[in-house]
Amino acid sequence: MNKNKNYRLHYLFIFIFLSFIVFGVVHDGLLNVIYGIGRIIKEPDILITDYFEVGGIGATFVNAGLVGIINTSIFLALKAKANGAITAAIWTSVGFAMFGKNIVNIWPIMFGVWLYSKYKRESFLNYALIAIFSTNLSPTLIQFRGLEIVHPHFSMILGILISIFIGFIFPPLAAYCLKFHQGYCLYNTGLTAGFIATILVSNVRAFGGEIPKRLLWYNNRDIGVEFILLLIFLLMILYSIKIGGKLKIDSLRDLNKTSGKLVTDFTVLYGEDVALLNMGIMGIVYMAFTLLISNLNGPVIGGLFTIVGFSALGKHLNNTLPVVFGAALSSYLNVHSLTSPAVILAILFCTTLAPIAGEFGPIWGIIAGFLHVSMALSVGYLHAGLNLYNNGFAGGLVAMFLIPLISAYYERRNA
Amino acid sequence: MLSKERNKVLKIMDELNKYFIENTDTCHITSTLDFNKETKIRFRVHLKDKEEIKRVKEKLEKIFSVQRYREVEELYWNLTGDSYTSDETNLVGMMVDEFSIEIEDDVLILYLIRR
Repeated sequence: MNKNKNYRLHYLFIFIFLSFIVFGVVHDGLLNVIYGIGRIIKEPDILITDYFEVGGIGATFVNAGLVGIINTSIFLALKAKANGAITAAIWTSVGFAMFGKNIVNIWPIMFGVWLYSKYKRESFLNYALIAIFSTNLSPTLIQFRGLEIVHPHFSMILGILISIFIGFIFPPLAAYCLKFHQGYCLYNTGLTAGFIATILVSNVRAFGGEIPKRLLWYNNRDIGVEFILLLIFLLMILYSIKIGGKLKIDSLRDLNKTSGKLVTDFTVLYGEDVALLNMGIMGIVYMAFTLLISNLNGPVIGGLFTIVGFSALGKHLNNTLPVVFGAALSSYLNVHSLTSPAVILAILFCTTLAPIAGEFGPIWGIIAGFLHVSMALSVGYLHAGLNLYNNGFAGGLVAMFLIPLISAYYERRNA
Repeated sequence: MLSKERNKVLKIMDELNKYFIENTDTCHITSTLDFNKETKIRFRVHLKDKEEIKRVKEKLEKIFSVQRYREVEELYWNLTGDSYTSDETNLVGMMVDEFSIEIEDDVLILYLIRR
């Protein structure tokens, strides 16, 4: 196969991430961007820290673009062709570079994963995917600063050492956690990170430390941000037509019939063009939906990009809509406001449970989405916001609860 | 304790056994395993008729024509073999370097190699 064809998705992504950087600089000016990036690096990153609030829109886009280029370059350097899982990892990471990951705090954990690959005497390629996903615990790096139980001189060193250790233990835990939910929670590494962060935070608390809560949420509307996101999603659709030769609606229809359970890799099953088409459509639909209840800020764009990334690895309209409906219904009925930050994020990220709707039907999907919201709003306390993929943790727990029950129901019905 | 590599091979065999049992009328499957520098797996599956052989052969060719994705394998290999409901044969396809299929009367023989 032509070598360029192997890496064309990588090149497309790099082009998009470069456009983020250009957009950021044009939006805020170079000096403001440099100042903003400095603030993003220095400030704590636990949930919910909207980088739009911390460093400004321009710096956030530049940070996300750089994180995206770093991640894509790692896969290119390892000669790993872009498949569904890699696409999901890259876009999830870029999304979270809008509210928690930055060009500095991602390195120690990735280094820890690299160390693990050396310990196992295996190529880092085997662990590259885990390395990118595992940066959901990046806030750990500077979270020990200001804790009374740690001397200020040692807090940074402690943060680095703990982050490296997290990266080192992440691979075996991530592989094992899949057994808990059988692949019905797409953000499996969120479940893994949730357990690690819970253990870490419970020990911090046990020794007298307390991690303060944080909520920074940008509330203004920016037409430029909406415009560039729409352009990106349209570009995905147009590029899909270019490499596929036509708009493959029939293949997209088939794709929408899949369960989406891990590992349903749309780039492998239907081709890169159809996967890209699905990504573009999902981006536009969910951006339109989001604009009904919120403006686009860092965390919301993070949610959108995660949906777009996983639209190459399991998500499509058929299996996500019932879950989102269930989550919206729960938010409407419960005591929380539909427009509160945590609820908006829960509605977007509940699509981690899309495979339940895809495999067992829309009713189970609605139930999963309904349960997810309450769970997502509760489990944050356990890890004190240290796990950026809080909804992956919550979704994993919901799947662990539902899958045995659903299976028992179907076993009896089919007996 | 089994090594990770041997565990993965067992899972691949589990998944394929499950596929043959769930999706064919077979009542006779033989598998052999050869651990050396590379791992060789062979399945001999007695199938009902030529139509079933054709269908299974097409499916297996689709599964295994995918290149090996080591990074996907490392994260997701635990999904193979013991899932409650759905099949993970697509994942198995990403865990194998080479394959070939032979037909002898009503027997389909599948050869897999992992390096």
